[in-house]
Amino acid sequence: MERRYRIAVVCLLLFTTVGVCVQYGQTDRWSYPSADAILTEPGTYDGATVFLFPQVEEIDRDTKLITVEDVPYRVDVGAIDPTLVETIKPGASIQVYGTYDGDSRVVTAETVVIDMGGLADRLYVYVMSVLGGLLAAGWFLRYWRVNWRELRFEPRGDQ
Amino acid sequence: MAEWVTHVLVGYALFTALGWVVEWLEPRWIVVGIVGSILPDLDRFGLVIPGDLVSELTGLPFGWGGVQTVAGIVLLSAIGALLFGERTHQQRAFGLLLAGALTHLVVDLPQRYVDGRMLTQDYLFPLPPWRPPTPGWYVSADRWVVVVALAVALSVYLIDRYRTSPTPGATTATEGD
Repeated sequence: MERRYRIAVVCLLLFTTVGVCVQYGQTDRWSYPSADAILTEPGTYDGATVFLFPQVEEIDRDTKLITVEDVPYRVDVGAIDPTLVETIKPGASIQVYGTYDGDSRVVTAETVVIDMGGLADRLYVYVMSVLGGLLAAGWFLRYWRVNWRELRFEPRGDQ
Repeated sequence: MAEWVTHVLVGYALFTALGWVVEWLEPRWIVVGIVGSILPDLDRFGLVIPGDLVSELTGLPFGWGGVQTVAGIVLLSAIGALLFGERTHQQRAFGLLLAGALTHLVVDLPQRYVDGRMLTQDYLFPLPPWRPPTPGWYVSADRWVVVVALAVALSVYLIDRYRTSPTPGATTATEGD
């Protein structure tokens, strides 16, 4: 396919991809209320079951209340296994499943999963992802080169 | 979700093993499948240009998560395929990029979620949302995941080396013999 036709089709596909992202952005496929929803309409969602992904700002070991970064609701982990609660640190990214109290703006957690325990976990994921990207790119360029004039990949060496 | 080293290693293992039965699937095509295995995470452009910012500037709702969906990976695979020149190369590239992207979604599925169900409702877009139960095998920061991926990739590498190494004692016929 000639370069100009390929570029035209690529542009069309990119435009379509943007369209998918726009459609995705306006479609709510999550069956639980969002953090924004429970905070702007606390009365509506009082007693609702929620599934949230908060980041821990601080945790009060006495009251078992977690203060969440950037949003004014808290998480009560009193019913959660104490050995798990002990491992929750400030900066951790967690998942919380529980019931929302619209008056106190507290989520009483029934289940908690720790996605990232803190900075070390976050760094691990980022560093490994950068390494993986470099590995994939370097591996690919070992066998393919870029023909900038024709804007395409061509095999290195013999076909 | 698993980090990229795991996705790359899983892609390597899968496509190398497939190459044992698909004649044209040699290393230069295996790496195309490997690139496909990290395609869905192009939604990380959102870390540089947040979707909310795009929405604010354009007045349109925008979610980078669209590239991590069934529709998104088909489109990205088609775009990637068109960066190859020959028709045969384009067809192979499309198939491998899409297969690689699908392995990414499959690897990311069995994570641990508090309500015990997979986060498939977004991956399946624009198909109807469906969230089957998850086995809850890992979370993003679990180190053992990459260790398992490395062990599998290494095993495949060693088997591949054994399969392609010359048989000891075999002689090579030369022209004129």
